[in-house]
Amino acid sequence: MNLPRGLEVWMIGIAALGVATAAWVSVGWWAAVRPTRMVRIRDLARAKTELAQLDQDARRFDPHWRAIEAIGHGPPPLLELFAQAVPGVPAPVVSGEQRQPLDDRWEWRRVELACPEIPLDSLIAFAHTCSTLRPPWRVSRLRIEPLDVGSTRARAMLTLESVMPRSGGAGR
Amino acid sequence: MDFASVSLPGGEDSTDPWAQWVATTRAVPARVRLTIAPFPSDRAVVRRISIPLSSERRAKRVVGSLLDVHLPFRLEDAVWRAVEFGRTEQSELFALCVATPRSVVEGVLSEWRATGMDPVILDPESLALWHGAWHEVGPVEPSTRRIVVHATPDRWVAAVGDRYGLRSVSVLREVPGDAAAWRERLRSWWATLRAAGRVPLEWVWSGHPATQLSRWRCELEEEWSSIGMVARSSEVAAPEWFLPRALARRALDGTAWEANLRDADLAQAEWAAARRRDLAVTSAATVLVAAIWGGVVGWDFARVRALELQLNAEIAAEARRIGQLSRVVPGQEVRQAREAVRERLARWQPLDRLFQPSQLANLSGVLRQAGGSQLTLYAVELSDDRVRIEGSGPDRDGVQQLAGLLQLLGFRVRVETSPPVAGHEGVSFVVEGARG
Repeated sequence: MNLPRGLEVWMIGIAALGVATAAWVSVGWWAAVRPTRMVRIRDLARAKTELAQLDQDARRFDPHWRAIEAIGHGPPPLLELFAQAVPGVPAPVVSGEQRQPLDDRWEWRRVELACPEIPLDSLIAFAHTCSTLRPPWRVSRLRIEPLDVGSTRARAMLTLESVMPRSGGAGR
Repeated sequence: MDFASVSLPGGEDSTDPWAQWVATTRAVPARVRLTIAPFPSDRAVVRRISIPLSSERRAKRVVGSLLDVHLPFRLEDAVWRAVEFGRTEQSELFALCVATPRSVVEGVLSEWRATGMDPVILDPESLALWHGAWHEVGPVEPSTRRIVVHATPDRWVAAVGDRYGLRSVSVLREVPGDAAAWRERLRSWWATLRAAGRVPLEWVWSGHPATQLSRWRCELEEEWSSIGMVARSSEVAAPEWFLPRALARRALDGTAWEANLRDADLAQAEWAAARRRDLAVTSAATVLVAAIWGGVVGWDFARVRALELQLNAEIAAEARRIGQLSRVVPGQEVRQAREAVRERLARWQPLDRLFQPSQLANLSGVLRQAGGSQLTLYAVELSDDRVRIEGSGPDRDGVQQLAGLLQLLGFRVRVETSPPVAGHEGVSFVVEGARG
């Protein structure tokens, strides 16, 4: 193998030395950097595991939403329900309505119902009706003050909560 | 390896060492052949130059200029070597230099090529003789001068030196056939050598038997011993192989390379090509190894980088999906997703209560317990986490029973009762409780 005359020997050597140096420098660089990269990858894998756990946590309300979506509508209006459940009892006063959007389609609603005079059994019947609805009107707070000592009639204040569809909602 | 035991083909029976030398070298493949040949002493100048400097490093820089004035030819046109540096007893620095015109080197090379050998190393013959004697006879005694004589049928060479090394070289050429005439020339030559210094001489004899070396040696010893000028005289073993042996030793121990008069543009083409080949192969191997290493490193880097990118992309996608986010900041994906989920779960927290039974279910029980204990209730307040009942009763026992019921329902209960008032029977009470 005769090399071309113009090709100086030292140039070949220097070129090879340059390539070898570059390779060794890159090997050294990678040897120095690789542990850091592997730590970064372990961190990423840990982050992925954390996200998987977070995903489980975030699905905690999926059964609730499935139930609500299956029902597809909110409970009937309270005054209408009251009239049906305990006919003949004076209509309560609805006040303090609060709305809290849950998502694009559903909202949380809280209502206070004040009954100036209601028989205790009617009150219990109404509350029972509310709780058996789907979705229910849930009684979260109840205050009863008997009108007289030994009376079965009382003044009652109920706080009820439920989910309602938002008008024009596109879904959760 | 003992270089003194270097042997050459042919042995003592050989009549033509150089023919054997050439034949041997040609038998070795050129690729691995390292050939060395003597550079004739009569065609090179050997000088020991004093250098008025104390530093050998600096001396090496100026030795060329100092040598120049000792040369009968231009230094620019010459090949020269400063082969040895040393110091005298007075710490005077000196250098042993060998120089010859470049054209002479080319001529010697042509002669060798004509014999079929293209030597890689042209080693000055006088240096080889001197070092050969040093190896085979021993160091020069102090206060004596050594003369190494090497006789061949066509010329006699004498390398002259002392304990510090070679000093000069003298050559006697055109050996006549007439013994008487030759005797006269030898006497004259020896006288010249002796005149170099009035110190005892140590003679080392080598050369071809055809030169009648032993005869002339005896004549000299007879003549000069009487005047005390022969301190020692010895003939080396296998004297006709002395120079090839010395050259081989110098080639093997590397000293010949420093004195090689053939280099650079005078380098042997085949040898230079072999060196280029070796360098090319070494370079190719180096580049190949570097490429393999680079490939391995590159592959590993690409693999790790791809894994990192893949994980980054997956994490970003998962964080966007779980957190229901339109975009996430790289490196903050988990935090952003966690905050979004926390905010969403907090917003949906009421859903948790929606399907749980309310405290209303406990109302009937509370009322029954109060009726059974003959308690009169003024107010009952129930919520998911609190309870408050006000009333009065005939005694504390009924109140405690009501409080017990509330504890069973999961409330931490506190009971306050007012002391009986004069004129009234029973106690007033407030029962309060909280989840916890």
